[in-house]
Amino acid sequence: MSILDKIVIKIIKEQELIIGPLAWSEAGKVSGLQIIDLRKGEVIFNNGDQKSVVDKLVAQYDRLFGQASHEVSKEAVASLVADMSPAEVPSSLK
Amino acid sequence: MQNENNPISSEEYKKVTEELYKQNLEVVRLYKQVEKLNQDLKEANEGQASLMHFMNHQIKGRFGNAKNIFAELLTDDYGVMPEETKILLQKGLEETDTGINYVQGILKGASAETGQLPYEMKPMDMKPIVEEVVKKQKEYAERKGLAFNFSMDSGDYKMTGDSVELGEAVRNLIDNSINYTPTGNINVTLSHGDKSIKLTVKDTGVGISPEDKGRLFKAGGRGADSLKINTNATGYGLVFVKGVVEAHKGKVWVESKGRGQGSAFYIEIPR
Repeated sequence: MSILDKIVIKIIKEQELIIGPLAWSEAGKVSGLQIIDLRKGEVIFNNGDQKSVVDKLVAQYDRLFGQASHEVSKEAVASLVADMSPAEVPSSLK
Repeated sequence: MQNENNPISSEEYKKVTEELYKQNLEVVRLYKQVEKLNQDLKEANEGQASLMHFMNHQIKGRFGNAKNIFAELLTDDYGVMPEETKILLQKGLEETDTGINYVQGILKGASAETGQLPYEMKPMDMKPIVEEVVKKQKEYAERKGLAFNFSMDSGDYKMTGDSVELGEAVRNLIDNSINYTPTGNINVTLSHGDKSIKLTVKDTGVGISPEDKGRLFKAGGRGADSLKINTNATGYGLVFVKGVVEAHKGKVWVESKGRGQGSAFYIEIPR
């Protein structure tokens, strides 16, 4: 599992704690992201820029729930982002 | 108010969802805090259980072994000891006995607090139990130079309970007052109503500050300056009293006007 896979799952699961299953259905609407198994928490990236998909996921929640949700996404993956080089980090999580 | 002709605007809709999100977020944060506190509490409880287990099996066991060695050496089975050695051995025996009593006191206090102390509840009479304890505690108080008064209402003190543990609880309560009363007197009163029996222990001792009152009946909960006055305090004596009294569906409490103004401890047990 790549670091960006882990980031996507961590964000969705953290949002799930706050908004419930809606977090998964909203994630399913993000182009470039496919939910494989909701119960196991499995997602895959379709072809494309994975960093940009993460940005779209963060924006999807942001669009509906505002800045607070953006902060939640960032906080959720802070420990993962800390181990990445700045170039690898999606802009929405910087 | 919105209606079908004037539906909620997207800005208003977003404001509502954002507000709901923030409220849910706050709930989740509180939940996480509670979860963390629960985990900390669980770990603290496990730590205490482990310590108690260690004390029971290792410290108490080692004291017991040492006590047996001193006792054996005093029997002359290993040769007649010189008188000076016998004095030392006797001192060793007494010291290990004291150590065992401390450990036993802490273990019983902890067991009583967690409800793990077994009780043998049966019909009993509180009067001879208190009288027996008072007799010994009076000697202790008077050796310390304190006046000791005991009074008791006439009548029936029969109830159902564990006479051994209740006697020990009464002894602990009076002992506590004597230990924290450098000069003056101890007044013990036994009284009863139709439905309850009440023991009062009043002293002219060091008193209790309001902040100490809250921790007095908790494990290790000595008063702030407790060890300056009673260097032998384990912090489990009153915990034991509370555990035993509550196991009898009774209550224990303390009244004091503050430091230096004495204390009054009360036990009330239904019957």
